[in-house]
Amino acid sequence: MTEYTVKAYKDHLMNEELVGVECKSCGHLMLPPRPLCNKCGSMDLGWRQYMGKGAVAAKTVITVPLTRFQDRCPYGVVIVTLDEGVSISGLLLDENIDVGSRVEAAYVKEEDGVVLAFKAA
Amino acid sequence: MSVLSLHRQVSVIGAGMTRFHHRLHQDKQGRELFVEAALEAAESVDNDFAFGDADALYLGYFSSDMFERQGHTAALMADWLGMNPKPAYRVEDACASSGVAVNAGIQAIASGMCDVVIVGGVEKMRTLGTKEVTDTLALAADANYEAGVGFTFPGLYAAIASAHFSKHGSTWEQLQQIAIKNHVNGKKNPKAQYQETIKEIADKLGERKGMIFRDEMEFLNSPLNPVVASPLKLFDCCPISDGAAAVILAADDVAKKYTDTPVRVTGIGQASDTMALHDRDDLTSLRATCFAAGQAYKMAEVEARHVDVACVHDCFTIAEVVATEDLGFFAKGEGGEAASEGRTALDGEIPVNPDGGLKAKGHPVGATGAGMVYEIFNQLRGQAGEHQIADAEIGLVHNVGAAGATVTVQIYRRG
Ligand SMILES: [Zn+2]
Repeated sequence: MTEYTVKAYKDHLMNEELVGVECKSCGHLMLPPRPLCNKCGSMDLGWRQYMGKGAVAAKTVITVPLTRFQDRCPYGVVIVTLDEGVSISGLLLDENIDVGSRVEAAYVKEEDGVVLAFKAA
Repeated sequence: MSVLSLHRQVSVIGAGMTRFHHRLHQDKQGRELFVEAALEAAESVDNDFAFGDADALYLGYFSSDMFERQGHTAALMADWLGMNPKPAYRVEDACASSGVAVNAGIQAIASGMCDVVIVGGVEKMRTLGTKEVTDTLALAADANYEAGVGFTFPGLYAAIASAHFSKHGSTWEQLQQIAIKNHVNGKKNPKAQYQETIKEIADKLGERKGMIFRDEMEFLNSPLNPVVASPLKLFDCCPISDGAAAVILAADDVAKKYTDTPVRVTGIGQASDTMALHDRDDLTSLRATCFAAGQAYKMAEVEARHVDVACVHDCFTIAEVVATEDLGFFAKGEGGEAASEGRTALDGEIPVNPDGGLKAKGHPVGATGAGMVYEIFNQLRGQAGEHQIADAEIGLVHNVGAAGATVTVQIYRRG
């Protein structure tokens, strides 16, 4: 059984760690973790921690929310390309952030877990 | 990429569609909508056709589970059409559910397993309010890593728009020309949800609110067009709709029995991409569209410039810009400008969404791909009515699942 599970990812988020995997066969970096490399198919993987710093690649401010996020409405969501080269989506905590802005990961703790977020770096 | 081919040629011999609408169908369930579309499809076959003539049913229905608290909907529809014991397959590929159902039906005939197949789709969405629909549509994104951090379905396309604006210099004003054009087309389509131009809607809403708008842009810039997910506003988004569409496919050698004017399937393509938008190298392009279109063009032995009329997946205005670029109608980054110049209008060089598109015609998710085939079937037979493109010979259908993790393309030719 793989150890590279969604649960493991979420457990790390609780500790304010952003983790994925690195393929030992081809060097491909993945975030979040997966059981096999989506580039070469290898299952020879290892944990890889990301620093959580990067630049905004896409941004929106949502005014028609998901029920789970309605208390935050309006809220921003961004896609961030991390300095390591992988990208990930997160809630946006700061205003005045636009495509190209530097951001860093933040971890928003809620009753049912942690939401990955980004704030101005 | 090798050129794929169909080992047996396939034609469309009939197509039907309910009107797509947000209120009209409130007393009907999905099953009644699908039967209505299928009956119209059967009626459209030139010589007698009975549902029992079909060897299988392929049904696209994205979320009957959430919308109608009903699973197992392919068997349900086959039963309601009186097709037992013919096999029935439900396809769930988000907004591309019936595009995939059409491809699956074509492949079933090409394989020799079937001679005649009914394909189609349905979505009964208006059982839920906007909030619950927003939650349900977000199921088509990655539940952990996209919806889990707040992304809605409009939010994903808004992210694409922000990246497109930044990389290619396209503008929100350009996007408005797509909404305006699709409403102009929808006004000419008796099956469309909105048969009004945006100017007419502006005048109507303005009168109610005591506001006067000089033109569409003044209205679209007003508080009557609120932000849904910036930079996308209400009129950048397709509406929530109920509706169904059905298409009857037959092997070419069998099609002769049913009609002298079939519409031939000359190329099909389909591709998958990363589930999460953030895993794509280029956020301004749907790689699965490029791949599926490449496959379909090669199979059909045509290029983008040969297409006379296209139905593309404009769930949001930005999606039509991206689609017309990825399908090769315009260079990357020039789709917005091309639309602004009228090049995709009914009288343009490549008319896009003559039926009003998802924007004005409506988007009952699971019915959309088959609804596009209904439009192209009528266009290529010269029976599209007020929005007919003169002498259309080659038509293209492009159906996208969510933010592009599934894309289907088909190319049709007048028989
Ligand atoms: Zn690898």
